[in-house]
Amino acid sequence: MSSVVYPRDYSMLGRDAKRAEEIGLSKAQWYAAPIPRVKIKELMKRSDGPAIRDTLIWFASFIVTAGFAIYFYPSLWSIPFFLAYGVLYGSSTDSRWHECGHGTAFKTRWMNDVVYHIACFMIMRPPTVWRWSHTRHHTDTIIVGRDPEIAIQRPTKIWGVIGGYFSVGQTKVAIKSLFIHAAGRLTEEELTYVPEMERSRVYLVARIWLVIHLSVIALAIYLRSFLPILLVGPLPCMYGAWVYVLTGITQHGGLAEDVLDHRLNSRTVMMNPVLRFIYWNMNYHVEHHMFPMVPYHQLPKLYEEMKPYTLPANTSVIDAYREIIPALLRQIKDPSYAIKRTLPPGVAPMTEPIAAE
Amino acid sequence: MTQWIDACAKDDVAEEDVIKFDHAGRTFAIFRSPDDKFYATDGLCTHEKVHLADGLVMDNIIECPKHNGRFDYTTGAAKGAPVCVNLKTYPVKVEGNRVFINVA
Amino acid sequence: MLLKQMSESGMVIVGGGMAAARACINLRANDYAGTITLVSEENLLPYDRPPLSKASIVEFDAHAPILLLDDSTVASLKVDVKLGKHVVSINRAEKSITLDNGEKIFYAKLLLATGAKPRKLNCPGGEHALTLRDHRDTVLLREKFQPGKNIVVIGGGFIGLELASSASKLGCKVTVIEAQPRILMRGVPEAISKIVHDAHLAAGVIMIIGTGISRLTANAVHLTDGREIKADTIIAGIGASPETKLAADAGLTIENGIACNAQMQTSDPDIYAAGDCASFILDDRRIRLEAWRSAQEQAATAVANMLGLDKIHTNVPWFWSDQYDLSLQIAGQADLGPNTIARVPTEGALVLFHMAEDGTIKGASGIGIGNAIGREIKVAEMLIAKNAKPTPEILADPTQPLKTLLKG
Repeated sequence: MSSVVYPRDYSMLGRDAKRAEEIGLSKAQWYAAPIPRVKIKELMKRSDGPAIRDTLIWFASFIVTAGFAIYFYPSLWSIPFFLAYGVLYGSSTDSRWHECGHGTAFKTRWMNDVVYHIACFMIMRPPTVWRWSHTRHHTDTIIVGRDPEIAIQRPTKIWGVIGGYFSVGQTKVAIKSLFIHAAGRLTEEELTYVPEMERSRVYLVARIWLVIHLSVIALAIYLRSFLPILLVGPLPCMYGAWVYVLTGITQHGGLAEDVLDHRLNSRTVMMNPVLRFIYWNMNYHVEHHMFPMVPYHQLPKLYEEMKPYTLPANTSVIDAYREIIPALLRQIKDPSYAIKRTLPPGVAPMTEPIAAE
Repeated sequence: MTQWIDACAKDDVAEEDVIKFDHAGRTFAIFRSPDDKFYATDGLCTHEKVHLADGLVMDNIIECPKHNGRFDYTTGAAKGAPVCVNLKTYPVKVEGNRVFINVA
Repeated sequence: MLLKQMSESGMVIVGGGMAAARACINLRANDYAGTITLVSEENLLPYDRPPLSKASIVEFDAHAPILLLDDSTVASLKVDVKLGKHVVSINRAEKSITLDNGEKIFYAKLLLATGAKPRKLNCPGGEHALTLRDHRDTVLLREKFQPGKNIVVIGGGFIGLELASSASKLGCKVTVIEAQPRILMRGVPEAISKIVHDAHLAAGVIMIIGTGISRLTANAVHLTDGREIKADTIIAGIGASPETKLAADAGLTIENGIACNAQMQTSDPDIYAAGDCASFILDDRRIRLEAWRSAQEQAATAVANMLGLDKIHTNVPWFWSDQYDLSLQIAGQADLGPNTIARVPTEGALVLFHMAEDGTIKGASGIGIGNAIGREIKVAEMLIAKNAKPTPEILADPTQPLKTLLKG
């Protein structure tokens, strides 16, 4: 007999939230690969160089793709440029939001903050609220009732997943919460993790965003053109979301819930350099979760260090989806199913016997 | 603030024994030691909120009837497993045949 | 080569219950200054288990586990706690344990307090029955105990009956099935088990006694007499077996538990055991107890000997169970006292003293509402410890305080 009651309650205030706290799944001791502290410290060292380089390329890509899109608009030639622009707007912002949210992308704080706020605006995530929700995602990764960022809840709602590729649900929620926050309120769930003193900031940011969005719409009406809303606001956020969802689903999709080992609930997938630029190396996801303070540009090195203690990575996005799709389909009917990963015993000797003296 | 409450008659408590005394929604335990002194503590064990008055008094020790938590009732000190939280004590005075406790 | 390890290795405790918690506290209370490492398979610090079948299910305010060591105690005792870690093996030659994450911990002395695990039903479909061991099980049972649901408890022992009482309090339709001729066959006198039985009947529980199980399905229990009992949830409370695998794999002697001497020392002088997993010598007999207070006392004995204080375990066994408003307590070893003296302290309460042929008191069993028999059993326990031969007339007469028997 199963040890939990299905369907699970994914809300932060529900039955499984209480369960997780009661049985010690919250703020628990997680497995950490026995990488020497010195090595981790070296990998954690922050620098500005890689992120400045990436950010300059990033800005330039926005200008180039937007420029060509505007230039060719409304001819069909504009479509590939809109597609590329959309991916920058709706997908690359996810990883920028993520990495700058951790404060690890740049060494210099204000640079992190600037990129963080730009990314938040584009991907329509309230900067304060999501910072806290992501903190939770790291403390209590894929713990039902504790992790507010479980992308695919079971049983799988297949249309929800497909809609997710165009950020349908999320954008709807984002617009709704934009109005709620602008009105000076938070949802019940947000109240559980957004500290008191941060709340006024949430409201202020929402009001500024609302003004920007309304100005863009006003401009579109004034110009009698779709161009402004195709370039700024919910639309590019939606038509460009698919890449981040494509990569994002590989992070935890189909894997176990309520396990205290990132090797069992997260997935590292090998990806090409273009994807890794958009995704800022978050394909090294087991590594990122085990040592979240290691900057994105150091993750390939961390991956090498951790190899002796992890399971082999998925070789490609396609390889990952080969196991994800059947698992998600099976979870439509059987919410208790998860891809089982077994760690060979002794895969991770933490303490080597102390050498003879 | 001092608030002396008339709790019971001296003879209500046998020597080396305890009784329960309820006052204003609170419950206390009143002890009479083998050397004929009176003491008062909170009435419930700090372990699982059981009435100590049902427990056994041996010298200066009251033992909770439920899980054998032991306290020195003269000081309130917890004396080992399963209790680790001390018992609150209250001043007691005897006037004539009456026992008063100060619950403030 | 082991020099460096030896100087750093300290006390290592495996387990997550009362004995483990108590051992940590007692080590420091005895001024032990070295390292203490506590390894538990659970993700919680050691917590109190008696409420798991009772308050943690029925009392909304008491759902959360009661930690025996909280974070601040752990910090003040300087215990290195490893939670959610399974001990894979003991290497007795180099005095180390290996955890499932590969980590190796060296010990000077090792205490095994691994507890007991519920027995599984081995009839066909036995996997449909839930069992209770840890707080996870409690949370699941609580979710299953919805008003009006059919709960079938297999086994009329303490855990089964306490769960039946909890389910009944929550408004479930409860059936208890016991294969033996009566409930609480092991260790509880018939007169007392009768009072418990009646309390269950009074609460509307259906008691099916003396009937076996032939098989289980997901929503029914089939009895050997052909009856089929409908069940939304089936629970097996058919006893527990000591968790001895780790010790057995390491080659320690196993005898109804990890075999210890009266010092709670196993067949390896550097390894000790305490609590439900351990059997030990008491009054020249090998016994194993699944009892909360004994776990504390065994841990205290083990710790004293781990520190070289040479202490013999002599504590009188003591046990309690709460069902409905009844509280049952048993002290000593009733089976050593064939002659019974009854005392009725108050109406509805009953205490039985178990006397040896020579008049020595060996055990006492009592039941009553609330704390009606707490004092009687406590005094009896002290008399048992003294090997006293109390006056039978005083024992039987509720107007005469028992305490007088302790004097002289």
